[in-house]
Amino acid sequence: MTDFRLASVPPATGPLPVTRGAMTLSLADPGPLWSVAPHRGEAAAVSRALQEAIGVSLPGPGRRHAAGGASVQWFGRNLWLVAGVAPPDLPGAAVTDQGDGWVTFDLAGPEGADVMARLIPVDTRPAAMPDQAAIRTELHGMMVAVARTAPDTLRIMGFRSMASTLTRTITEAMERVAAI
Amino acid sequence: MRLTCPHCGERDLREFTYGGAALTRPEGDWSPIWDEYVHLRENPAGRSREFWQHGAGCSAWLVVERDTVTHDIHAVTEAGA
Ligand SMILES: [Zn+2]
Repeated sequence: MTDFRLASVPPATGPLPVTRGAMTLSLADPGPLWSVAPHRGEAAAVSRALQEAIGVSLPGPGRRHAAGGASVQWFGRNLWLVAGVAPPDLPGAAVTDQGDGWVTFDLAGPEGADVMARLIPVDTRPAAMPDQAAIRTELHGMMVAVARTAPDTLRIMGFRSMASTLTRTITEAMERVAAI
Repeated sequence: MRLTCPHCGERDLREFTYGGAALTRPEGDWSPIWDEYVHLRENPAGRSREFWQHGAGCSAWLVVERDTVTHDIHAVTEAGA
């Protein structure tokens, strides 16, 4: 019998990676994604189950936990995003596959906060947004998630269907910072 | 205007959507109190209690106590908390 397998397709094709000045925008591959929304009163149990199964617990608001290939990112009110490794069976939470919904970019270099200052209404300088901080905000009229995944890297997640718009918008901001 | 979301911290107005006056939903079948709840609104010059949703942020519904004269924000709490 033929063994059919689903092949993943990158959410953005075209010019990536792009470098403008000191900054580089590239497509990141966080692996498979699931949203986890614990039922009322179940957050602590869900956090323990995740810690046991994939080695990462639920972080508090505005934070991200990563270990090995797995990460859990705060994704909104009572909502987290598990990436990289499948979560275990979680009877205390609503778990939804999000892998086809998002495009993930890495914005790397020393001027990430200057680029983001032209795009979102939140201060992303390291003092305000240290390593492993994670926020939800608005970029070009869209809901996005931004996390500092390394001291010089901001990971931006947006709607997969708007990947080329996001690429162009972020690239324009990089060009304007590079031109100063 | 900036609102301090209990989850996200101080954020710009563009991330929020106004959700109307924060009223207490009446109980039971239709009565003149329901009519008032659905149709009648105060238009205060001064303190008001309103719903706002942090739609481009954490998605939480918030109750905001705001002064419509001075634009002061007195309190932001999570609705239903
Ligand atoms: Zn919020």
